[in-house]
Amino acid sequence: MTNSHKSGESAALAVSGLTKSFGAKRAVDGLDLVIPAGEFHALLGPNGAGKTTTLRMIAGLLRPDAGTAAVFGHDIARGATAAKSVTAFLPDDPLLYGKLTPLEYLEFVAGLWAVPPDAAERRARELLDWLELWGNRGEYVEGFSRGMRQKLALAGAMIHEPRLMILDEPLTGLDARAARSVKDMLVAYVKKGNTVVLTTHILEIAERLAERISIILGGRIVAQGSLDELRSRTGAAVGPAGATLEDVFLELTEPA
Amino acid sequence: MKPSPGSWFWLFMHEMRLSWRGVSGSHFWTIAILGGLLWFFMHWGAWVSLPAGYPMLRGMLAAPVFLGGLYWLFASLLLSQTLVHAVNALIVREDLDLLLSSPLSQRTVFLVRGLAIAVSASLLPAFAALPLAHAGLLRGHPEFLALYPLVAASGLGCAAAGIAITMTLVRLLGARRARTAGQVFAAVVGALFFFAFQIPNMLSVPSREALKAWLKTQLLDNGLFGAASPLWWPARAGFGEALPLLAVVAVGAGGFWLAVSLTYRRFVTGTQESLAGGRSSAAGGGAAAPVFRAGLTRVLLLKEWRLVLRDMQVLSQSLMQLLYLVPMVLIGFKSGPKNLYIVPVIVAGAAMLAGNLAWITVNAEEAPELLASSPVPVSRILWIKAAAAVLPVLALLLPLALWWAPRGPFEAATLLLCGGGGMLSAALIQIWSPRAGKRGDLKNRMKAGGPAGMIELLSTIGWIAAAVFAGGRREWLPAAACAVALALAAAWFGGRRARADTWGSAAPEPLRA
Repeated sequence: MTNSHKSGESAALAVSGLTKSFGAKRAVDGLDLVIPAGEFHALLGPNGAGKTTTLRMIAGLLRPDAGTAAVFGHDIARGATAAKSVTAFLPDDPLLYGKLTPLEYLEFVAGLWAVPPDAAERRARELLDWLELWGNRGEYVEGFSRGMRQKLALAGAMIHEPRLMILDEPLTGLDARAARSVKDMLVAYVKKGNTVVLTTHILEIAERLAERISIILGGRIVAQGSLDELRSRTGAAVGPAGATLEDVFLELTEPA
Repeated sequence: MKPSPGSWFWLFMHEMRLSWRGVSGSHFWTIAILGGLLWFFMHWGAWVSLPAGYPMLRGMLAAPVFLGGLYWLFASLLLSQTLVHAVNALIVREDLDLLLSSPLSQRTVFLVRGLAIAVSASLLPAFAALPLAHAGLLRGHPEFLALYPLVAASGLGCAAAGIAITMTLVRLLGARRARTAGQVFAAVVGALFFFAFQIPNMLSVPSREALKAWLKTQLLDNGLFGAASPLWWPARAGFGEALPLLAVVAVGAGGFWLAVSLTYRRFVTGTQESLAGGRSSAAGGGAAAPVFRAGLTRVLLLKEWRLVLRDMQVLSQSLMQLLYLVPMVLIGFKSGPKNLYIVPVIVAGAAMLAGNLAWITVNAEEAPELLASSPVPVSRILWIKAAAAVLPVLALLLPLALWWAPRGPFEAATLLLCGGGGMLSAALIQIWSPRAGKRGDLKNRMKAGGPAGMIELLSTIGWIAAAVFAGGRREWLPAAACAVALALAAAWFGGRRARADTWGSAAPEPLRA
């Protein structure tokens, strides 16, 4: 972790009053969130809490009804190109091109983010090696398992070395070994000073990896802080080591 | 009484229910009422026309080339249908895992699936032929009841052929390729008669005369196409002649039994393994050292073309449409380069192909979220995608126009102008009036694509009309221009909502509502 990186720069993500409705249903309701650069941040919440809608607005896939969001100072509405240039978004069920090989897919993604070909080739090889997909580089993606697709999508998200990665359930469908390699990769990535925001239903991941956690409920952040801060806020104390994140999460998201 | 669960009839009813739901969707009563009315009128027509028509039909049996040929025409269409059904039933549908892992015998599963293929494909022939059987019974010609076993045997025979061809393709090519190959095969079989009838038109005069002479000898009594030829037995079977009817039923039912018996054992060891088995490798050394290209335009064009060229289904569906135009173009060229009537045909082909490709590149994008989250403005991506659709068609059109230019400059210019206009308009309509779809839906894009399909059709008709009127009746050219302008305006104004919905917050500014 490079703390100097955190303090010396504008926030990686600054969200203010973000609001989005679908018909009569308000999915995100005036959400405020600031994530400093170089932080591993987890966004937790029950199903339908507004996590994915929030991430999709930040990634520029949905237009907010109200509010603003800025990535490293670039407003996502007015400075979309600059914001997207430093961001990668990995949806929960990434769609890939079935008739492309992993290398062709990465070549295409690198082209979208204008990564120089030499650097892109080198990076593609590193990423595929790391994610144990190099041996499959000549196969069409259509034959890949869910986990292999997820890993390739992650490689695509990382090929342009974004400063902010927004990951929606990135470990879904991965086996234990693949999940471990992805987690290691993300930790190493944050150690280089980059920022990761992820949603997950696997609370153990948030507990182990995230420096700060935001709990979202009904489209609003209802609690935010490190695990210890959340523990002290709820006052939950279960077991000799205190409350687990699961205890804290369940208490904070308990229906009124 | 409900069939007992687990019986073959129970499974058959399940298959029929699925087939019916696939056909009728939510319009059950509309289809049932309209179909019932139509069938009633067909009965009425058969009843009214049979007294006068019966002697004529009988007379045709003396030289059964027409009736027999008609039968084989429908049989080829039926085979095309059963082939599509067989590919769906054995490869595409994913419920065989469930059925084969159940305590039902594999033989029952395949018997029922084969029967379902036969019934699905036979419905239309039965709908068309059986009114004659019923009217014949009431008018004192009960021999027409033989149409019942004839239709059933034809359905079974074609289902058998469809299953056998599908399984052979699976064994030869593997399940993935067999799916596409089966669809291409079905399209070719369906078009077989069309191409066969075009052959004489494409031959030179001496060859045509030689063909005519050969056909004449074969039409004699002991010839291949003579009145006594077994080829025409299906036509005789329809009139209740015992031996032909017995033979047709034996071939149909026997072929079906054979196909089911031979294939169900091989399915698990062949098709299932092929489906569950390995991955598809890229052709042409995809595992070689990577060579990444620079530049968005280049990589995006490359990606679009790779995806089109590697998707046999898309490729075959597009090329099959063009295949129907080939005989007309050949005939046109044979009659000289000044013959302007082939220009509209080529214009139609160019617009159709460009429309298909633009639909694939723009509307059937497989990873829209990736593009929308990239820092590239969507409008730029869309223009490159349109170029990916138009450039290959232009590459086909341009050499043709260049070849034509010295021989018929006016025709070449018309071709280039109207063909280029047609394909550009088709691409613009897809951009301006988008509707997300899946690549597999290409065949039905005109029906399922909402108003964009009709708008594109109007534009294409406009460009075809312009090519027609350019050769004469130029006073009508403004009408053609109006049709094109109307289509483009409808796409632009009518597609504002669709653009915002499809591209969301990433909708390009100039395109936003």
